[in-house]
Amino acid sequence: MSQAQAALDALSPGAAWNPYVPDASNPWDEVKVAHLYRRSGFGASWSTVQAGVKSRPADVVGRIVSGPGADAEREFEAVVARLADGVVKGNDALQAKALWLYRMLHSPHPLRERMTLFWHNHFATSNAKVRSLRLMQEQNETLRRHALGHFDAMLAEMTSDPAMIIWLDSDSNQKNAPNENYAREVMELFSLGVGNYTEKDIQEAARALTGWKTVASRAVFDSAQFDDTEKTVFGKTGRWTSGDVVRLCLSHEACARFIVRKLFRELVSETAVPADKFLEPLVSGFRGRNYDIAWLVETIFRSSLFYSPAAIRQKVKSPCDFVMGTVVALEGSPGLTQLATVCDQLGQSLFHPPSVKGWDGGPGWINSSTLLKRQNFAFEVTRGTGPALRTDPARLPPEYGITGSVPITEFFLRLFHQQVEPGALQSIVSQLETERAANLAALYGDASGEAALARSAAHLAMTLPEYQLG
Amino acid sequence: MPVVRVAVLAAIFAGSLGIAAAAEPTARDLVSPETALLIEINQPLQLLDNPLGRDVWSLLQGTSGVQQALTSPEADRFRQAAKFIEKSLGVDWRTAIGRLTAGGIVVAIGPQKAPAEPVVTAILTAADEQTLKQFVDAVQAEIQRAAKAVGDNANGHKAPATEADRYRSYDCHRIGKGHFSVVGRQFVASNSRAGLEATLDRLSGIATSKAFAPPDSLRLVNGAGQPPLVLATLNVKMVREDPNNKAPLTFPANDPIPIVLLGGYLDLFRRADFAAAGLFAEGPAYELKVRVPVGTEGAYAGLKGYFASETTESAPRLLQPAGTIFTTGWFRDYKKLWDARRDLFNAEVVQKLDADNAKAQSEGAKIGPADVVQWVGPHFRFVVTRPQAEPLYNIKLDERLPQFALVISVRDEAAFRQRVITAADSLLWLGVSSANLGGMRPSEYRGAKINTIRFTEKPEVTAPEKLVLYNFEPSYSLTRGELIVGSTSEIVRNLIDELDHQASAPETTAPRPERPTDQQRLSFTELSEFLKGFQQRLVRDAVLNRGLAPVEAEREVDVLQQVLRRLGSLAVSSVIAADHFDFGVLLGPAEEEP
Repeated sequence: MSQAQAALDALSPGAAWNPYVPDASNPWDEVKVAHLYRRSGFGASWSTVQAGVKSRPADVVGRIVSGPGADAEREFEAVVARLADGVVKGNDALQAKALWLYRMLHSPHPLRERMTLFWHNHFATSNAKVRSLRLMQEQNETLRRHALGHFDAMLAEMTSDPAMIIWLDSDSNQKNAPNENYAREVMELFSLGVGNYTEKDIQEAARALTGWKTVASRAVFDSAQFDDTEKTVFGKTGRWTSGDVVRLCLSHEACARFIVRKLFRELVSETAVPADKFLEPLVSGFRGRNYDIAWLVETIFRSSLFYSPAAIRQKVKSPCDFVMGTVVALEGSPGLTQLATVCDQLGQSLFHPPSVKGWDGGPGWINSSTLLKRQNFAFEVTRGTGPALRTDPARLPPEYGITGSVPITEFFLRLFHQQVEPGALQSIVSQLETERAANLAALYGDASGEAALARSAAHLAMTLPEYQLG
Repeated sequence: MPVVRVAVLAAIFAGSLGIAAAAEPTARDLVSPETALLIEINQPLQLLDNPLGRDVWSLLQGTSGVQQALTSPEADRFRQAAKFIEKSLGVDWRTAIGRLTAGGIVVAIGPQKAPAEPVVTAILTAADEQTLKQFVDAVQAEIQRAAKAVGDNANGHKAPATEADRYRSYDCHRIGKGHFSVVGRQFVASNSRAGLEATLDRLSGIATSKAFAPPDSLRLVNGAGQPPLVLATLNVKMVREDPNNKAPLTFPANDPIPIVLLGGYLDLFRRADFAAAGLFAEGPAYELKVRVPVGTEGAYAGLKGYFASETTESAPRLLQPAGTIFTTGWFRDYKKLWDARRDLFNAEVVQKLDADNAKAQSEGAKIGPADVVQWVGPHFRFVVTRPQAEPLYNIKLDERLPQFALVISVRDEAAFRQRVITAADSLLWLGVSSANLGGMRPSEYRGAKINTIRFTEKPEVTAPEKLVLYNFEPSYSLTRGELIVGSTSEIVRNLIDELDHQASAPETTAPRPERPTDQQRLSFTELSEFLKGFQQRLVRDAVLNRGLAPVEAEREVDVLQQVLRRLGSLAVSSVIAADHFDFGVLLGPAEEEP
């Protein structure tokens, strides 16, 4: 049994989901603040973490969930819309990925982007089949709009989303030749999970979902292709439509539990698996609040469990988490198409999930090839030149008034790991002193020697195995 | 009296310096005759001090790209080097570089003799002996310090091996693979000991072979008789003797393509022993001159008259309709080339050319290469302009491509119209209609008939690669002794206007004995105007590809346009005279704002 599982099992559901209250033995510190920012967005800069430590946990969570306000989001969306227009017209797939990374890096509401990415993996749709950046972009906007809204509305809208219609063959689901693809996935992957429906339910639901197709990139309901006869789904009989299938799924007792469990894995822990009973407070609350995603997410972020050893560093960073988290921590602004390429190479090609099941995540992100590529990225991004020209760790120590090899090393260990493990500190400092001695630059007593030192310290801190965990 | 004594000593010291200076050979005199490429940098600091360079640099400094680059490790290293020089000589780095390179820098690169690297020898001449000694001592001390630090830490880095000895009466040093010696105010360095010793032999007057000696005509100067900032001299003979380079320079040739494309130029390099290129700063502009000291005299028989020369016409005047981004004109007499095919190509190639010609003359349109070269004149022009103001089609394009046209002189307009244009009209009409591409639209303009292909508009087309089509309505006209083939009917009309304008306004400059065979002009000002239509794309690319904030990106695009306007234009010309070939490039603000 893992330590995380043991920590989870030691908690009762009530204690686990009660709000976290700091005390002397369990203080609100850099570890917890950085953990919150990693799970609710794509990490945080040094100054953000320090400001978070000085605030109350409830206030930080409140700000993260509510976001910066409608005006700031609208202003940001206007900038993105200008960029998106050209990307879609130019049908530039790499720039489309880069544009999403732009959102992850610069959005005033990082939680919305984090949840949009989660829903992209949940309703996994790939442009490999859709072959329309315009439709993928529109689906992405739909996911973003509902990312912290209500799951019932999102599921309804995804059922008639043009990209989804193409992706799961709804356009060939006609009354005389039903295609069960969407009916199966809406139950298995989008709302209920395996074991909560029968093959007959799928066949009947497929008939209820007939009639949808795309015309000139728009979803159109063709009543001539709709099977208007009676169907029986989950034991209920009627002349069901696609809207009824969504409603029936949402009213199924497994639906809320399925989504809560999936979000637990996304936001809390990949290594600890909770019993159904453990999740029940969240499940009943989620269902009772009409699938209010923001409530669910906020409840998780406020909980004691979220700040326990069962959650902290209990996920393997996805490529987006790894790459964007590094850039956010280093306060950089590198070329985003290059970062998109790095994410592709690490196994997370945005808008191109490998299948309708999405990315497996967890330990699956790491293998001998991707680990080497992660280390190469760490080297590149800390050089202060090359593809990551606008991400230079050397800028940070002077900005925060830090000099000397030991303080600089401590700074990067705390920035990336929120703790200074003595063995790691000693090992990195020793290496830096060797480099400094051999560096001609050190002779002249200006900042250049420290710059080289800071780059090396940042790189070495990133190469510690713990940096792969989020 | 002390004052007198000091004055006498000063006079003696000054005199001794003068003697030393008189005895010192120039760096060029020290270069081996076995040099493949010689680069002489006469005024290193002036390379940057040109007003154009200063202005452009000042504009670029406002961009985040340059600001970032200035904080990069590479820039750090440059700053470290500058600080080192300042610390060594006790003056600011510009003054220090000025003193260290007052007598110029000469780099001689020997021939490649695989597997060995070519011998590279550099000679730097400082303002005075003291400056150079002070600097070299500082470098050596620094290297020893670094080597000691590396050794002390034993971290796996290898310090470069150093050693010192004497060759003849000179102190010689080695650091890693580099060898150097300081003699008076000259610093001699080479990547081989032999290279260093050969230079020291020349310095001491022991060497018996002559120095590298290209003809005096290759000592390029500008209009005021000043030498260039940088002069590069290539030993063409040495390059030509490389077995790998022999085939393309052999006549009669086995392959007609290089001869058709580069014949005259290949011939120049077949005969020249040297070529030189000089970079000048001319007021606010930079000028590059390339000279090869052989011309049409002695040219290979089959190539005489193929390029423009004193005995032929010149390259045509450049066409510059409104909004011209790029314009070029060149002289090539393909009829002369065809007629001389037996001199130019081997028997097998000639036989094949004749057979192909006979076959073409007996089939289809019954037009062979021999006919085409009879009809087509020696003047060719190509023009690229900004797109016209009005869209060509109802389909709206966010980004419009430039218009372009090829203009070819025609010797026999009537025959060409009868044999080629009539056939082309019919074939195009058939092709366009049967492929359902669109239709032909004839029109008249100032007495010229213009035929235009209009593509059918398909509103459902949204793929960017398909929308590109709606930038074009291919058009052509045979008029005024010229065949004009353009990407739009507007550019064809504009060129008809321009031809009429040129006919009514002959060139004001007196005809030169040296006639350009190629001319080009790129207007950065017009390019800047053209790029305004791509503003959104440039901003988007800067944001997504380079990570700039949108505001920063907009500023950078603005700077790019300012830089282009400041650069003005790039003019290029090639001249083959009786005894030399000149190639010139002028970069600078030589035009008014549009």
